[in-house]
Amino acid sequence: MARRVRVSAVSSDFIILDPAAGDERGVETVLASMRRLIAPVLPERPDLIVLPEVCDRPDNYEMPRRRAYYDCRAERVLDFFRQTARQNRCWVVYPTERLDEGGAWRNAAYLIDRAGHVRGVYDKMFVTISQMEEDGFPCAREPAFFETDFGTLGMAICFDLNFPALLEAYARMRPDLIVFPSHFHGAFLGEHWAWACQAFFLGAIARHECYLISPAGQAIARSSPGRRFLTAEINLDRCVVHCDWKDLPRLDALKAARGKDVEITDAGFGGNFVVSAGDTVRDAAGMAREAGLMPLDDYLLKGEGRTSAWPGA
Amino acid sequence: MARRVKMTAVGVRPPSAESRILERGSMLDLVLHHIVRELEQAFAWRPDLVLLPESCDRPLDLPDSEAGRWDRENGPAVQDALARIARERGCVIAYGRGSASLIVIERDGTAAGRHDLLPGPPPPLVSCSLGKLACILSDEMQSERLRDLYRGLHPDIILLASRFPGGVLERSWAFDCRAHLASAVLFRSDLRLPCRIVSPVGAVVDTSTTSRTHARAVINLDSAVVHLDNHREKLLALQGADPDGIAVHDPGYLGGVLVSNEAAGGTIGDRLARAGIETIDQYFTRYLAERDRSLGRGAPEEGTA
Repeated sequence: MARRVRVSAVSSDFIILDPAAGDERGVETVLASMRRLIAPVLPERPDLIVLPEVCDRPDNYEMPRRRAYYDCRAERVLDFFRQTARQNRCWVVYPTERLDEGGAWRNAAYLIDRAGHVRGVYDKMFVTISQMEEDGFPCAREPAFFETDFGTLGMAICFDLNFPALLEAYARMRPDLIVFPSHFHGAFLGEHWAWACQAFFLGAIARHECYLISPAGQAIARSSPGRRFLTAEINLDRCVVHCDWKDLPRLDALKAARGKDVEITDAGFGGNFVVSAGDTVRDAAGMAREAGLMPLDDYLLKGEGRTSAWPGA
Repeated sequence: MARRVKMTAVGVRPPSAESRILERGSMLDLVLHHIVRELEQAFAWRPDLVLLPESCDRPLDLPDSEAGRWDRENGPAVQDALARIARERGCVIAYGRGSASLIVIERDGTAAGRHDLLPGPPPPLVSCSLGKLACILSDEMQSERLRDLYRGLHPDIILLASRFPGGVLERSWAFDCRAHLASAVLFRSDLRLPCRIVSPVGAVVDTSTTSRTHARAVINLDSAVVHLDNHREKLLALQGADPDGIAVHDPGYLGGVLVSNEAAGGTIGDRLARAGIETIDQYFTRYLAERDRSLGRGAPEEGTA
């Protein structure tokens, strides 16, 4: 059955605070900035809003100064996003710098549910050397895997995208959607992650474009310089299939038989297609198998079988 | 020292298996005619390396039941024809022999090596006068294990002879292996699928078009990928001291840039080392060691290097 979800990502600018104006005024400035960021996507009534990495960090404050500011901020920005989630009945990913239970500052992202409750926190696993040395941020050990009322979520933050260990973890966990709050755009890496995990991939990038990638690695939505946010509806009931040229008639036959109850998109490379279930079909994977289509997993397994005799395989 | 290679990836539309009843001459002649027709366009540029797609030496959509016989009876003749062309043109030619092999022919027409579709032992790189080549056929494009193997072998160039466009996988193969990549794709009827040249930072340098059936680029094999973290000033200084001898290509958004030694002497490795610049792999290795220390670990986590 179709599992349609509306997802939004927003970009952001530098936040420059006037130290002379005091931290109370600084918090008000930041809250006003956060309101401006999400205002354009709220009329779309998204199920999920993702903000960029450390979206409420004052960029002109070094860490010691930021700590003093954070004392004043406390959880007021978190509370703002909890209220936003509750009022709009949506989930919010709020990336920020947080003080953890052990007293360490972390580059992190909160996941807030529709009732405004914090349902989880992902602490960045691959913190940069400068963040470790200058800001004193530790690296986390665990990836994120969160259940929501619309599907499962994985998270990666910025520099994380460079490291195969996290990609491989998500490729095993198979979340429906990976969210990527970042300052670093990632170029084509998000497309590779999406394909490798067969998950939607949503990038909310500070000062760059936001983007949404299909589970077959195809960009399906991007923000623009004039509209620095995106909202798109995605269908999480999907199956990525591999189709050789000679198998294409099977896709046509499936469409002819199911009509609007099947959605088929072509990633445009590697013979990869996404088959999604419509509103009256049980599930995409079952439908694809019944149509004689080969799920990408089976194709990959067959391919890796060719290397099973290699040393260490 | 700059090691420039003029590289071309040529798309080919073989004749349909049905063409035997429509056109004169033998089917083998037709197959060769279709290859030569596309090569003529590419040779105007005098490339050092030409890549042709998987199954370019067969009629299109040859039934599986006939493919084996075709390959046995006609495969050697196509290879001989391509060897003659390689000798006459003084270039390396690589092509997909059927769907199961990629053959590399040297400039003098001799066989440099071949790559056979897996299964089999881990394939080595093919060495030729231009450098070390990693060869991939389309059914191997999505193999993470093959990619891991090739990454460890440090190829100069990756050759993908395919029947599908490689899309983002071409870009991630090139970036993962820090190597230039050429992909030649078999055309289906009049559908001209994109052949591409991709740089080691995953940037598409050139692509075939509706009017040009090949992609082409001059690449410099004396190059390295460097991450911009902590290296921006050093790269500026290096380039500032020798503007004509060092080229820096930033594809944007990636963090990695391609640095090439355009000078007549030295190597990019030596020049980077003297300037105190790490390659991206040296940087990530150092980062992971630092991360492990901060996590109180002795050795890197599996799969993080």
